Amino acid sequence: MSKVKKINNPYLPAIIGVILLLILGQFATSGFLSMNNISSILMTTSILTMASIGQAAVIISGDSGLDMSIGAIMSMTALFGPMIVLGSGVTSLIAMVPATILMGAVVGLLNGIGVQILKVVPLVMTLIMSNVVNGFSILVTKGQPSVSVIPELQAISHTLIGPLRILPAIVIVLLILLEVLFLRKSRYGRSLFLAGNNVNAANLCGINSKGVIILAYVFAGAIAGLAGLMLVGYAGTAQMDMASEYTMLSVAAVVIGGTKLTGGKGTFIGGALGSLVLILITTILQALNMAAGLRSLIQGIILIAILIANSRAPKLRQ
Amino acid sequence: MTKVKKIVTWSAFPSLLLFIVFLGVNAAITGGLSTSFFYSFFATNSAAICVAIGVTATILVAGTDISLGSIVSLVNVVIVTLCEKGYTVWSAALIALACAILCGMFNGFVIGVLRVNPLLTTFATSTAFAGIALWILPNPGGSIDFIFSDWYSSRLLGIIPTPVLLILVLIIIWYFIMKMPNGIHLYALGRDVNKAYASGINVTAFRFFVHTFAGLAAGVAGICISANTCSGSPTIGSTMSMNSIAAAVIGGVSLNGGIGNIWGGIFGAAFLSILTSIVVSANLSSILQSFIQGLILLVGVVFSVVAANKEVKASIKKLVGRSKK
Repeated sequence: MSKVKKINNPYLPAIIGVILLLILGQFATSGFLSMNNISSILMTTSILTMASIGQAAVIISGDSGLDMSIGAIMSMTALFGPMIVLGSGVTSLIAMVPATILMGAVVGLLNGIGVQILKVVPLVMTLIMSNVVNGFSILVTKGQPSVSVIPELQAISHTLIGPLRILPAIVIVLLILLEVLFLRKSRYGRSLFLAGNNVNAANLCGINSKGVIILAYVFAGAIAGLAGLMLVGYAGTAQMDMASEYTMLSVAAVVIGGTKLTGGKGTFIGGALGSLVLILITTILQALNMAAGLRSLIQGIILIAILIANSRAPKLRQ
Repeated sequence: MTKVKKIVTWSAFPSLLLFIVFLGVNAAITGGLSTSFFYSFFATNSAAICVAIGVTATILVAGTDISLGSIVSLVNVVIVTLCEKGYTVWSAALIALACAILCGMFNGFVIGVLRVNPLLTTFATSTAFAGIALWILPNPGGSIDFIFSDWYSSRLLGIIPTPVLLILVLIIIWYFIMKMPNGIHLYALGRDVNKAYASGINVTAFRFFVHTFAGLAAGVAGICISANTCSGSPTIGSTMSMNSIAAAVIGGVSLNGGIGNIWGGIFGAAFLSILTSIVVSANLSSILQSFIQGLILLVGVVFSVVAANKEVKASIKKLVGRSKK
């Protein structure tokens, strides 16, 4: 029995996907498995992983929870973060981190209030919030993002720690810490799972499920805010709406990682594996030098195939 | 009095109210309404209304469809490319419409038969469809014969403009299929899939159908937008999917399924369109525009959701009942 249980591991499809894609990549282009290429893949993966951590928390909170404003929050903090200049480069970098987290958390709080108190469906609430946030970004930057990114922030993408660059290293540590200390072991994490599984049961257990779910949105916003700062550090320049594609990619990553959209179940590490699958697909297709349209078509087809293999609903007839 | 009660408690009422109020605001800003305003309003915004009709159909069965914007782009690109290859406009439009229906059927197949989550499926297919559009026409450009735009701006019997006629065709198809008992089955499916299945409703067929219908609606929207702009762009519909979902919600269509009707989608989309034209004609600085638009959208959605809330509705009913006495 225990062997059968192991085969049902929710990470399995994502792990198989990663291995297959790595083999495929090596066949498609020589030097795909070189240290340099892998570390650049990990780089982009770690940014998507951050987005998927926030997304996973919201999806776990249940009640068809979904955060469509992640991309907008990331774009916003990518624009606003580098504007903070305080004396030397290092102190401004230290100031940027809490500032971007705070900005994201405020948007997340608004999302949470809309979803839990005004009872707007999460998909729509966060979607419209993303419109507002994008509009706000244009308002503040006056439509001309003339931001120069300080070298200390850019350093996260090319300074090495051992074999890894600094950003993936930070994200991996953060991922494990959040998974273990926040999601698995903490009081809050357990109540989040319970609220996602069954709100009524959670309320009867004396959990303030409204507060718990609102906090999940705040957490998602805060993490997305930090991810935006990482993105601008990686990209080196900020543009309007530069992170919009991260919204749906983060949802896809979380689902590929074995989390069900119905809530109450899920892991952050699954989201990280899902992100790796998605980034590998993109990287391989880019390495093959295809036209942009064809690439997007193949990406869509692969996504559909993964979804069909991975997340079909059970038969209605039982 | 019962008529008033019926209208006030109608699920699409908040959106109708919003639309009328903002129509008034628009009239105040631009200095009065004219028939030509309505003609140009429908010419520009019929595409958004068609997409909203399609999305509403899928939301009613507790699904959703975010690939419709990509289908609109695809239709636009196919029409332009075929026209440049020497096809007549009409055959190009028909082929493009067939493509749109095929796309919708593919969505319906994956969601209905293979039972994959609608949101994720249509996200994946929207990537694929947008990819096809970008593959066929990598850069915006091309032109369509002006017969097409002449046809689009013509009026049947001198009154009904073609875009309105196209929307009416969609509404008539919807009502024709929703005739008893199909309509009730569809709403039952939206409320509770398991109970609907247990009472012998063909869940697969309904899901397949609504997505095919949504594809058709997106196809019509693509024809509208192509005839209006007379040029091709592979990303012309990219913002439409999300806006149409917002439109449906403003129109009182519940994303949990089973509540609302297509009029909600239509009025919601009309409200969003009038909102855009107000923000543009109010001479705000372009930096402010999208922020203000987002804020009004937020207020509109919260307003219509709170209005659809049972407690609020009950108090309205009480008020109407009291005035009756």
